[in-house]
Amino acid sequence: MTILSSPNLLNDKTILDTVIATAGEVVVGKQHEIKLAFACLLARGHLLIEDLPGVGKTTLAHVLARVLGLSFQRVQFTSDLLPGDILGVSVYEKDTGRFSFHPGPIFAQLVLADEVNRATPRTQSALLEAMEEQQVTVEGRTHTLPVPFFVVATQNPSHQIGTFPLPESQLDRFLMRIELGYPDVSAERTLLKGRDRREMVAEIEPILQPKALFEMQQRVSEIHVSDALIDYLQELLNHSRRAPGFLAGLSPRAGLSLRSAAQAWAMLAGRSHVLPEDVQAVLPAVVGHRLRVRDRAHEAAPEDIAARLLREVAIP
Amino acid sequence: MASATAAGVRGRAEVSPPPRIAVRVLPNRYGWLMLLVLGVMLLGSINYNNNLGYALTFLLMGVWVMAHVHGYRNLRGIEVLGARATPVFVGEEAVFEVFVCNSSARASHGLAISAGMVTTDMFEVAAGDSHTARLSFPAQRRGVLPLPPVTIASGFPLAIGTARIGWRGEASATVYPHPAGALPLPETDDPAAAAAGYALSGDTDFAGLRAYRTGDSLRQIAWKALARERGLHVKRFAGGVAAQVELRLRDLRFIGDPETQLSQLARWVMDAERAGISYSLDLDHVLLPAGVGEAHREFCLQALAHYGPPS
Amino acid sequence: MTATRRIELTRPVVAWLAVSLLMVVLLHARQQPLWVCGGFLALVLWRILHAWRGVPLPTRDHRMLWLLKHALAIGIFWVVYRRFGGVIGRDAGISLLILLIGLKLLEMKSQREFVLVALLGFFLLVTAFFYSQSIPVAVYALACVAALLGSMVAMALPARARAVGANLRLAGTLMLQAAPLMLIAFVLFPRPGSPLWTLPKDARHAVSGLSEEMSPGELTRLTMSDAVAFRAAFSTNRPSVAEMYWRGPVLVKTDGRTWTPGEPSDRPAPAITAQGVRYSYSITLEPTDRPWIYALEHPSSLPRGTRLSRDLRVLSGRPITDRIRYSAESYTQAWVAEADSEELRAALQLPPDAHPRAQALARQWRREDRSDEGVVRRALQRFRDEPFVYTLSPREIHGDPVDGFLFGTRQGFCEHYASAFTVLMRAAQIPARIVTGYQGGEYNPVGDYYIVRQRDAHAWVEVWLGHRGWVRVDPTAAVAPARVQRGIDQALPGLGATVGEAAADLAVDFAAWRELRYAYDALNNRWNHWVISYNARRQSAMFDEFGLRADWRALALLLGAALLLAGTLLVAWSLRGRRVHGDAIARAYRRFCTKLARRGHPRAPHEGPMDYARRVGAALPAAAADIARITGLYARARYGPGSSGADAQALRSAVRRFAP
Repeated sequence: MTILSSPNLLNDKTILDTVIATAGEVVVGKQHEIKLAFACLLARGHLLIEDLPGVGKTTLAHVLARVLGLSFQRVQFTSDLLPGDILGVSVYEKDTGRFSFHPGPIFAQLVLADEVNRATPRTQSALLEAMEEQQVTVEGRTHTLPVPFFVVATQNPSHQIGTFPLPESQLDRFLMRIELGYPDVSAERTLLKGRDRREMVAEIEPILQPKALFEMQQRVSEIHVSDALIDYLQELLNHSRRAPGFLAGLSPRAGLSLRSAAQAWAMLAGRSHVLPEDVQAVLPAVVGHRLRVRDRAHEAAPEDIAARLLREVAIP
Repeated sequence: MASATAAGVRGRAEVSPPPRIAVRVLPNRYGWLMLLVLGVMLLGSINYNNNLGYALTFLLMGVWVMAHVHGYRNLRGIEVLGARATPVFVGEEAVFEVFVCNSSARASHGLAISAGMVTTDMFEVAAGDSHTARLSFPAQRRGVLPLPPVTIASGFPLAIGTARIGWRGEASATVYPHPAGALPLPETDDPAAAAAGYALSGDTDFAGLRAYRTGDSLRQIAWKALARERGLHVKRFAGGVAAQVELRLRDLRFIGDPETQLSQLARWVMDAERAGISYSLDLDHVLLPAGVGEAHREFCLQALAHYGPPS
Repeated sequence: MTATRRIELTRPVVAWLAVSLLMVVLLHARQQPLWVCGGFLALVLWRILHAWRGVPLPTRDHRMLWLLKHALAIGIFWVVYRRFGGVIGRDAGISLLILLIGLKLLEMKSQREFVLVALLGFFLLVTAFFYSQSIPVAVYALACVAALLGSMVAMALPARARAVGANLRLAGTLMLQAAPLMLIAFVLFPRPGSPLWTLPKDARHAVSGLSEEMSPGELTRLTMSDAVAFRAAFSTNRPSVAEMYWRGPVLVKTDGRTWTPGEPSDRPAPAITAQGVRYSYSITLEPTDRPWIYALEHPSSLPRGTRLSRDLRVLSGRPITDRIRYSAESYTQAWVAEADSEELRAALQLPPDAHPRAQALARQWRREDRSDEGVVRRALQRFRDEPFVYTLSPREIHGDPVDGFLFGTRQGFCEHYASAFTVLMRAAQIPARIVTGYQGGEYNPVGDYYIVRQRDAHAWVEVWLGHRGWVRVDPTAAVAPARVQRGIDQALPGLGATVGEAAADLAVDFAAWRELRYAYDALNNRWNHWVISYNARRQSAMFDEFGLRADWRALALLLGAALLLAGTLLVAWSLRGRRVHGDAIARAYRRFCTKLARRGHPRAPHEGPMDYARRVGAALPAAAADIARITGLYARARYGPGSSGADAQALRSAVRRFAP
């Protein structure tokens, strides 16, 4: 019957604030994006970062892994990358006369799939299936992926030549899609004056044990979602499906994603329950890659679509 | 402009009004008695062909009907917002606070809340006002004491009919084991702490910081360091490690039945808390890391309350 | 199952019931013996003293008092039995009920006993209608009902028992809302034609009115009564007051003192020769318990179910036990020239040795005047010339009543004049008989009808004059012409000084007062017509008008349907929605937003509570703390876990106090 934030939540918030602050020291001026990334992680979702090269996508993923003490693997996607290069292969052992499985880079707690749109769709889908199922099946044998398991995929804006942009159906598997964008002036200045980022990343001491992160993820699903908030979520979903102007409405999965992302956001705020503001904060990242407006001539930025949705739906 | 917005908001809310709470109103034994008397009056009026007798009888019959309508209306708009109870120890009274509000435009009179065998005194709730009713139940068993289904009843206006609404909330009181047992706190494992005694005095020399580990007491967190964005750290004191005891259920295997053991643990938790000693609780399958403070104590007692199937 | 708490009967609650019951018993004070009412008052006082002064009640703890109570109960039975010769009769039953309610009041401790006593109070109230159903009684009874209902409200809400006005208002509301149901049931409830079981002997109290017997002082007693005998409304034109002779029993036989009717005759009524104006009128007759009704002399058309007797009385066949209303037509100029020898012989009968001086006088007149008319004239002349006085309080007559009156006191009332005149006529061999009835009436301009009261009772004479038949002669008119021409009020100016009840009426002769009295009587007439005398016949007559057959089945069906409809309407009306939609928390928050909107900071529909609070808090720094607090409460209450209402409650009160 505790109404206030339980001590656990308070603990979590303290820790998460530290984690975010630490990450913020390396990835400057991207506080909100970092928070979103953590929320995504806490909600057990995967993250897609879509932006130009060089804005710090890789750094962010690396920082996340370091700060959380997660085992980290980076896979640079290229057009000649094969599924086996990611998942791992079975190799015949002469000594034992049996096949043994050599796990690929995906068997890490945090996998950075860099420039995922450079690989062929076949390779892409191997990654996405593993993401979805939390396991890898090679030659009839199923290998469970580590827990927690978190994929950060980066993608360059799709109009570059020689890329295979992720199809819409696959985009849905990422809980969030964020853009980093250029840093603002003061952040840029800090960046220029500061030390080498890679060095800084290497110096980061893990603040959280994987087990603690796992427990936090457990607690995220316990964050209270009241009937009133469910009403709001439903209004949002219904509006995206019914209102003219939206090409494809949000899927039920999108609704669930929105809910757990909002729960994670509430946890970042140290709250035991979700507020409409939590939904509003995560909504652009969660629905930006799932919604399309009808008017394709003026391709609206995902943020604009989300903002429109938020503006048009009243909080019940 | 402002009013238009307000109206818009209200208009939205009316789309899905909350489910109305069903008010049941039935004549009680006095109601039936009154009908009987009215029947006799009617017979008399018929026999003597007394028209004023008829009139009076019919008037009172009408009043009888209207009294039930008024009884219904009296309870309409009464909502139970919720109920809660603070945890108690076995042997204490668990007091449930039931929050009642009146969302109708008129006052509701003569209400009484009952649950199980317990009934409150009469109270009334003014229009748009609310009331907190208290129902106490003896906490006899460790574990969870659920609030029985709640009934709000009123005999208003003539006590010839009873209007009722029911409410089934999920309120429950946690019942901690009764803290009892004569065993002293177990010896601490740490010789340094033992030397320093159990007292963890505030003026012990500050010795530095160490990284936060899950389970560390909030009291020991170095908040200033955190504020300076230096990460989460815990203060360390000159005595080495803070005084700490481990309260283990398995250490008590030799005394009494499980309830007695839990009572002893509860006793220890209270004692350690009073002494300000950091304590951990090990219930075999549940392990609460060391800590001290109100919240920690609550957690430990909760764990004890929910331990295993209550006997 | 009912988890109701035992409710203590606090002082105000007891006082409510005590006062209400006293009010009801007061209604019975006129009929009940003083010791019954006194005894009840004593019991009530005992209870009140217990409540306020702690005087012990007769419980088992106080053995002596407890025994006393039982002794009292037995004593009450005994006394009532002795006084009324039984406990079954109406008056006895009511005495018993009053005292037993008093005793019950003493032992009343619980809510159950309280309700029982209150219900007995209603029962006692309805018994009062056996005695009177007048408007004041009805109004007073309504006050009693309100008081008793108020007592029940006080008992249901002991905390508010002192709020006398509020409780009575609630009782009044209940009664007003019950009124439509009452009206429907009253009109449509099937009325049986006869009682369900035999009524006790004293079911109807004695009614005043003319009897079939007249002895000196008989009419005088009636004249003391202001009670209404009947009311007559003429439809088109109306006769003068002097022409209004309302015929009642005809008295033929005499023993020298008392007059009684002749032998009943089953011969048909004699033919009536009529002339002049025909008057149609309707009469509302108060119950008389006699088997005849009154009509103007002489009727040409009678109400259904009645017949004209040989002596021209209108017979109803059975006693008039309820107020009835009937229509008739009459000619005031009418003759009856038919009589057989037996009738005439009976109209000459005189006790042989009675009234010697009167007989001598009559015989002397007969010798001096051959014609019957001459004798009649001489007799009237004598009343006019001699110092005869028309008075209600004549000196006592010793010896022969007629001789004593004619030659001694010379003071008398109509009965004296009528009997003396008849004796004189018979002694002179002119057949004569006394007709009793009412003469005149008081015109009520408000209701356009005549009120005929008991004090309008009159006796006059009919003489048989060969060729002209029975001729009415009113000797009283010879002495006091005003009595006949303008009514008894004018004829007896001193009446008020001696007659109790009429005193107020006559002494205060203001026009306004008279007006008021007429209005009240008109109201009474209507009350009697529409309320009191509504019965099975009227019910079926009403349904006939709508072309419906009013058998009880149809009535019951109609009653059920009408009650259902009225009940539904009533319930719907009294439950008409006053509820604001939305749950309590959302409502409180909306109120909060409205308050801020009035300050020029409306919340955008899509704006989250926290964002709104931040925005408005920045705009209204003075209220920022309150805004943050209320928003926090709201967010927790609406979106937080748990079903606790503490936040909701805090939110509501915070919003109520919030004044940006």
